[in-house]
Amino acid sequence: MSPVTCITGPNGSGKTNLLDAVYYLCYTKSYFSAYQQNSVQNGLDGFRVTGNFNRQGKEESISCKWKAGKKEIYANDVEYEKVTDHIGVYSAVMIAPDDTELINGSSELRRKWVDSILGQVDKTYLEKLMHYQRLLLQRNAWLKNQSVKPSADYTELDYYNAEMDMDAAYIYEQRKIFLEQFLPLLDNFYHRLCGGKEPVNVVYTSDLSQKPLKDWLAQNLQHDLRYQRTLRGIHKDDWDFSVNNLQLKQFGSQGQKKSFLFAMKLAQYAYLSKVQGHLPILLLDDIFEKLDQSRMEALLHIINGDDFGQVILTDTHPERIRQAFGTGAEVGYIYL
Amino acid sequence: MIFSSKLVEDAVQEFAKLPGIGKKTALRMVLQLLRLEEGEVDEFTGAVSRMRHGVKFCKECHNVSDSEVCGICVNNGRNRHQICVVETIRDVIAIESTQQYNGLYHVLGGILSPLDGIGPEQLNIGTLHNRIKNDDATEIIMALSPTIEGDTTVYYIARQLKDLPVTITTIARGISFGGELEYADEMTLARSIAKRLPIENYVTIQGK
Repeated sequence: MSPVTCITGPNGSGKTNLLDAVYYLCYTKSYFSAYQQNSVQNGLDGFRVTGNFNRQGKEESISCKWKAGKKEIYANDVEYEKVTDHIGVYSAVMIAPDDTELINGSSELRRKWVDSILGQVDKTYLEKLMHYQRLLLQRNAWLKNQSVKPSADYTELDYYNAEMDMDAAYIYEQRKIFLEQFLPLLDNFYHRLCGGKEPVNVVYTSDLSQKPLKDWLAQNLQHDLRYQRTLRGIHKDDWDFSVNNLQLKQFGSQGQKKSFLFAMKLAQYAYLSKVQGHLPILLLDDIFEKLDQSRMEALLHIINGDDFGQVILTDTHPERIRQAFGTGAEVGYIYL
Repeated sequence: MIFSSKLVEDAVQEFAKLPGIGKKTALRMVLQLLRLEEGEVDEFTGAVSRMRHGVKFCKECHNVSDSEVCGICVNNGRNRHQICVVETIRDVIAIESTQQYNGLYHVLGGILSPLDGIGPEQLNIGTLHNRIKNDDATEIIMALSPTIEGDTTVYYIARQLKDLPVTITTIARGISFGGELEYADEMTLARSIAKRLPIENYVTIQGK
């Protein structure tokens, strides 16, 4: 495939689906749907996605089979023992129209976004996060059981607190370090996209910036018991985005949000390529519809640079892409 | 599945209740029983029925047993200073098959998991405490799965026993025996390196 590939076709022809298939082969899950079942064609009980990748000059065929809840991943027809072994081998960054949710939506989306980035570059992070989440479930179940049948025996709670404290300390530290590295990248892309000098900032807010989790859990026990869940911890972390020292979610214009979002995704791309040592695939879903001329040109200029690799995009109007990239550009087209 | 006999259908239904047995396998089993002499089938059902009615749980260690106290607990040849704590009866069978352990057992009947509604009162922890207090045990070996629930249980029991004069140990975790390093998963390998052991555990160095 050429460095830039445009998937084009009428509405409902499956452009985004094809884009999502590439994402699926990188992360073994859909970018758009959280439920695996939703990726299956109506009336069928499974699916198979296959794609040929080229990594360091070697061709590799990646295949993913999903049937009745069971997922199998094959590389050159050899099955992976664990699906997680495949994560991190290939990476992709998707930019889609609905992504402004990352700015406007709940904190859970932002945590998921950061976790998905850190989880693919740091296996320990992923392990500790999964460990923490399981402990949190058990701790909350314990709190709930206490309200039904109170017991004076807090031994289990002591264990959950101590283990969660260790996991949380690591996760907090890594999230902090991540932001330090991420912020300069974000700042750079934001200003390259829309010029200007307005300062952009991201502030990481976490209960752990005040005191370690074990102190929170100890002091907050009565609250936790009353609400029957754990109220403090890294599962409540959030990131505050601001432009010109004003909170983006509340005061930002649509245009600022869009630029900020693109800058975030491009910074995510730059961060992944720096840490992983190879260039992810950039997937752009129908974004030219939403951009004005100047930002579109700036975006094209950025993704045509040496710091970016293969780009796959969807658009209903191939002429628009032909025009935007110029006549000299090597752009491949897939007509659906 | 359509049966010409209600009797056969009922039997198939019963077999299909067993774990890992689907309707087709159940039918195969029933057809096999049909081929046997009536007396042989009586022997078969008798054994199942006697097993369910006659089986007891050892009042010492909660293992399955034919009598009040199980064969392992009454065996005087076994080391009464060691008690191995396991989750289920299956674990006893697995450890016994190694023929490497000569101590006693204690079957908890589960592990602590508030999500599944299993708290300390559902497990045989109180009787373990009594056994250690009254008997000769000096070492408690925790042979539980290395999961959050297993580790919670180890922690819980260790806390319960902290005032008693026993040593608490836990089974080693890491590279499986005869396994090759490159095939070990990263988490296990990382842990094995973090919790490495002095080589004296494995070999004796001549002349040292």
